[in-house]
Amino acid sequence: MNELQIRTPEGWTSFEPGAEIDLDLSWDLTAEPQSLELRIVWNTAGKGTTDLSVVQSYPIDSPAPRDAQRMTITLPASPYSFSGKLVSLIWALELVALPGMQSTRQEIIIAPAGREVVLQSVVAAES
Amino acid sequence: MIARARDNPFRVDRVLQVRYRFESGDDWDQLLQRLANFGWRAAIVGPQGAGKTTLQEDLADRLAAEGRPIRWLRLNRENRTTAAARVQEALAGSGPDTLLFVDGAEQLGPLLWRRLKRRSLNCGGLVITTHKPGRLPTLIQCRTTPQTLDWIVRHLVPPAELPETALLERLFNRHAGNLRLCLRELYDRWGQSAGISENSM
Repeated sequence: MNELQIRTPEGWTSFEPGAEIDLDLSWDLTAEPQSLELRIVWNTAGKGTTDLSVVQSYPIDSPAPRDAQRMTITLPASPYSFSGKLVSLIWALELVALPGMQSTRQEIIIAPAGREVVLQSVVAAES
Repeated sequence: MIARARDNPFRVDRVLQVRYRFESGDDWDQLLQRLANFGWRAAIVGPQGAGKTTLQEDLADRLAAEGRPIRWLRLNRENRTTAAARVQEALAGSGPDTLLFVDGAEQLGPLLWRRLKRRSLNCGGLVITTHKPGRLPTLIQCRTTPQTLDWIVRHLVPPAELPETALLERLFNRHAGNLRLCLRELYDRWGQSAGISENSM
């Protein structure tokens, strides 16, 4: 059974930009991975083509097939998580086992006060 | 109330997860057999929004999984001015076993098409998508029906939120069977009708 898990503090999924957080990572893989990598990524989702970016990655070298580790990371200061009608910017933490690329993903919000910025249309904002 | 793009069931990354569905009794075995019979040189034909690119990508994935080297050349209106250089680059990077997949072959003018057709004889194969038949033997003619649209929508929307069949049929007819346009309109319609309260965050 291949299982990877990312646990955030208290199960929180909303954070201030630049926050330092502790993550509990665990994995149970059938084969010994070459390496594991925790990635902080963002992607867009909406009506148009998807953009994505790996902003930071934290390698875990020579991991055992089954183990757990606490890791402290600093979240990026920007861009903020936001949503409008046409596009959302979504932050996520991904734990990836290489080279098989088994992975798990935890979506999070990075924005002031931990509240996703909601874009209003100009018409709606003026009314 | 703001409808967040991330919650829209018709957002592009979800739509792209719905793969090609064969109509009229065709299947992968028949398609692959025909492609082999055509000497690995054939065209996926159909109008815009009929699923040609989706089918071509699925075909490439299957052949790549069998160990066939694949080289892509994606052409569209935006990059057609650089088509000659990109054709040259694709041919130069293709070996004798490489299957060259050209999406949007209708963007190539007659001269450039003839050059590609002739020089790709040194490759392992050439699979194109195009709007009209004639450039290579037709591997499959992609067609859509209102049922195709209904099938896609059922993959994207929970049963309780399914649009009425009559609405899907009207959309299908208005966009002349172009499923891409139908799904874009459904995206907009969801954005107008659904939403969340800003205070619900």
